[in-house]
Amino acid sequence: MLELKPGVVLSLGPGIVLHSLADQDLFFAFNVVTGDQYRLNRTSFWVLEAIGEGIEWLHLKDAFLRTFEIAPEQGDVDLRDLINEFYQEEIIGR
Amino acid sequence: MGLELSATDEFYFQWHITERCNKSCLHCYQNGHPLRELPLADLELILKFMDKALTKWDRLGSLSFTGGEPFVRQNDLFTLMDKVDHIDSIAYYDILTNGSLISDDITRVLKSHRKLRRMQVSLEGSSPAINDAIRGEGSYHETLAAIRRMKKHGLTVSVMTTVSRINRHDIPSLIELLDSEGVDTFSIERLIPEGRGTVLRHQLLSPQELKELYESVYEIALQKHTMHILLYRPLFTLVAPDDIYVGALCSAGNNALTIMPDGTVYPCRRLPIPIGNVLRDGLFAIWYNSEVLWKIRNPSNLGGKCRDCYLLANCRGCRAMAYACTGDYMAGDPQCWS
Repeated sequence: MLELKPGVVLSLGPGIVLHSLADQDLFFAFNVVTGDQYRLNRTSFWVLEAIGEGIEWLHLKDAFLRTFEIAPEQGDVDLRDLINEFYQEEIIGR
Repeated sequence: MGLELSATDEFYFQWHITERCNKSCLHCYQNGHPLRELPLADLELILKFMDKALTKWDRLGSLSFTGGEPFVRQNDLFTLMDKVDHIDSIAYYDILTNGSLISDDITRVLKSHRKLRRMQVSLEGSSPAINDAIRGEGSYHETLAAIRRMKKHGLTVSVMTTVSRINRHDIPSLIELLDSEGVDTFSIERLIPEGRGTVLRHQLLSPQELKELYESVYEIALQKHTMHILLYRPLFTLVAPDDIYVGALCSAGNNALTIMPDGTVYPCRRLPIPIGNVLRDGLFAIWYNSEVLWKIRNPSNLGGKCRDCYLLANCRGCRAMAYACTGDYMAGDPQCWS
């Protein structure tokens, strides 16, 4: 479980690259070291792109709530779940 | 033998283990300056990369060993074949050769390899006059002798012909000849004006000429032959859009890579844009992260008549032809008649 608190800056895991064919609604994360590949939805891809830019946790959460127009409490839960899933799969680190 | 995999299941490597050749064909896509060759130990390492990738992707691999002329590295070729025979992730392999170095003894060795699917040679016409003008004097009889030798030993033989204005009228006669020789499969490829073949640019078929040729080959393919005529190439789908055995998406960026003698990787041998080196970068980094491959994968990057084509799901033209003729590999296929 990744502890998410103010000041935490997330990053993509080692070897992770992101690619999309947005016109076809296809979004991917790849690990160029292990060869693992992940098919993503648009929201997951948005989150990983933001993480790839080195965004701090609170800023990420604010941008997520604004972009997807989700109620703050629900958005917080959803985003934490998503990030922990990415963390367990080693798509992101910190 | 005879195993065919669907595009979604298959991943294909065209592996040029050498660029040295004992021939000097006019239309060759090589430029006459052979690349540095990797030693056998590095080739074996590349096989491990292939196996690892195919296993991770859960795809069945197929492979063509080629050159140059692959039999100029005969001992290394046989060693690699022995290895591939025991790699589960690779279903089969073909050898693309000019046939001139294949003796009876070599044919017996080839026959002993359980994953060798086809031996592919090239013949450009049904007579020495046409063939030898492109491939060199004596090569017509040499190739026919190789076909007969390989058939005698029970190998599956394929013939590929590069079509241009030099031989387009001769293709029906060539098919008849090859059928009578017991050749198992026949396919045609379009002349791509690159490498030494750049000088033959004026021999490229016009869209109308290509249309007429493809239509005639399709008509012949529908007739009863022992020989199987392969029609899964871009633009063929225009001839018979509803025939699922005709036409195919280009495999570049989709389910194939070409590996050169020094480990350089191209999307396709006919699209000679380096996208990495397998020993330096590994196959995962190249396949997942090449800008060129991602550009090819996205049909919205297509230009010209390919961009809005009603057959986009089945044909996106030949990227190599677009590149050779325009310098832009995403341009419309210059030979499309749609």
